Amino acid sequence: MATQAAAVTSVSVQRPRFPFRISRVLFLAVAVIITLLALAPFILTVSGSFKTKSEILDWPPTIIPTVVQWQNYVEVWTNSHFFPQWIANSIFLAAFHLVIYIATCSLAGYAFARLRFPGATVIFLAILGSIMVPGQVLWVPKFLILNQVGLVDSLFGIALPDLAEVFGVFFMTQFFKSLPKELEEAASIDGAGTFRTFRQIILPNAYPALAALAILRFQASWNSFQWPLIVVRSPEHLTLPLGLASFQGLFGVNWNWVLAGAMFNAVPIILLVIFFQKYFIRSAASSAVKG
Amino acid sequence: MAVLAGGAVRRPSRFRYWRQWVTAYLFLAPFLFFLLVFIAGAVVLAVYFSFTDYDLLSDPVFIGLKNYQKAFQDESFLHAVRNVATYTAVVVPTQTFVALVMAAVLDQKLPFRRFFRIAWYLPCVASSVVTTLIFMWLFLPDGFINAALSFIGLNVRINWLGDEATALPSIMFMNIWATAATMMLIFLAAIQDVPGPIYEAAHLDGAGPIRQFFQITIPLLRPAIFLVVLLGTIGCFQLYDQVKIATNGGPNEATLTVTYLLWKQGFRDLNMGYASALGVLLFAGIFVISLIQRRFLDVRPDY
Repeated sequence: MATQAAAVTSVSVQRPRFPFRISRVLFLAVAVIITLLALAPFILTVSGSFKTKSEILDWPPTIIPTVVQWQNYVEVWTNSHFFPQWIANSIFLAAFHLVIYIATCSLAGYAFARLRFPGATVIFLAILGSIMVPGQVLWVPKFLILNQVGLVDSLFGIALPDLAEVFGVFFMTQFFKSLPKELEEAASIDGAGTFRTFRQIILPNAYPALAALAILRFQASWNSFQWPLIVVRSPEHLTLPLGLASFQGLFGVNWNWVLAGAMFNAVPIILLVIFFQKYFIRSAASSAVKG
Repeated sequence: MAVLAGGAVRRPSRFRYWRQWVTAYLFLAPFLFFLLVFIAGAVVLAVYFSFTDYDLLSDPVFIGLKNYQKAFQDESFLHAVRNVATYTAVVVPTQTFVALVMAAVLDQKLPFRRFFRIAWYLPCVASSVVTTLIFMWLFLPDGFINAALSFIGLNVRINWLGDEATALPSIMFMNIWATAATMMLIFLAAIQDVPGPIYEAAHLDGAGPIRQFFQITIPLLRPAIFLVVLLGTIGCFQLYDQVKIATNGGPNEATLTVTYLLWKQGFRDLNMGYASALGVLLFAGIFVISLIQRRFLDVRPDY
């Protein structure tokens, strides 16, 4: 009787579900182990960021700090007098990209999705081809170009080359193609020009896509490391990731400060993922477009 | 062609046609400018500089293929290629397998699966700087990795990142930790795309869940496996952040990679021409390996 009932349910749910309790428990155990492995480094970092300078060097290391040293967060902010500047630089970089990158990508995406012009296919293929080029190949020429126009060691030197990143254009092209054509037809009967139609009819309908792109772009700008490291030298122009990486050289063994500093970079992104999970998960799953 | 209200189709006048493509290029102009300068132009310059000797202070001197010849006689470059090959050979299969296991577990509709998914994904969203700093600390001789090992009875005090034998494996470990969940999401999306009736038929034919997983799910995941292996390989070839932050290619070139050598040649020693040649070689390597993988891993699904 019991086996019959089990067979009937597993047919009706269609997917290969392991019917026995023991295998469910096993799967759950594996899931818990993976969770521990994924989260342990973060949990230990939070705990380490509250330890005193001497406790963080103790052997065996303690999991929960014996004295909770809130001051680490104050000291990391004040002892290295560039720290607030690094955060400001990172915020500037992210904000610049959120406005300019999103604008250029949606304009270009709309042209590819809806306008007809000679050369469209050629340009689109060129964009596709550019995905194949690894970023490091372009370090030298991009640096030399910026050197020519005097943008080396400046925030704009970090920000401008990223505007050629093609993911956003693909993303917006796909989205605009999915909008119903009737939207524009109604507007063109009313005599609106292309740009007015785009701004007043299309963009308001694109908020979900713009929000998704904004979140992904924020993550990329906030975390970016390789290109900023090539462009900027002066301590006052570093972004937060660069500053943190230089920290470890500056302070040597003061791991409690390094970890407290790292929290300033990690926490905003972690909160973003928790609140906007679906955007991240969808984009990772569709990275077929990127590869 | 403009569609009029009545449904009649009117051939656009020459003026309207011309105006539409000017409009299109105006829409494209901002993005196209950056694309032309920082990608198209940069690619051309990269190839050009790879044939020159250029130290940024004096003008570039054309030297033909000398930079490429130099690369294949450069002990450091050959060492870097060997390191990257070892690294890729270990990391790609491991992370693909781990990601597949993670996706299979998440597909079981376990309780708390939303929590699991987000918790597993966190290592992928933290910046490379943060995860590298965290692991540098965990890998210290007095750190938690050694503490965990002594907890299970292995009383060791290894200087993981400072020892030639363990530095590269340590970076492998931290990268698998940081990227497996991204690959998992690709697998998860693919698993959920497999049509349910296939499983139903298999079930009626008497195939148990384990057989269904290996004989239906895995074969149908071939396109996803190809994608994960390809993205993983490209990522491994470009390994840079962890090396730059944690080891600077050391100790004794044990973690030297092609990209780190490119940075060192171009931006520390100002051999811009040689660095460009290394970049072109990196691109060629990635291009060739993608073609080879495409041949060996059939991308089309079977149904």
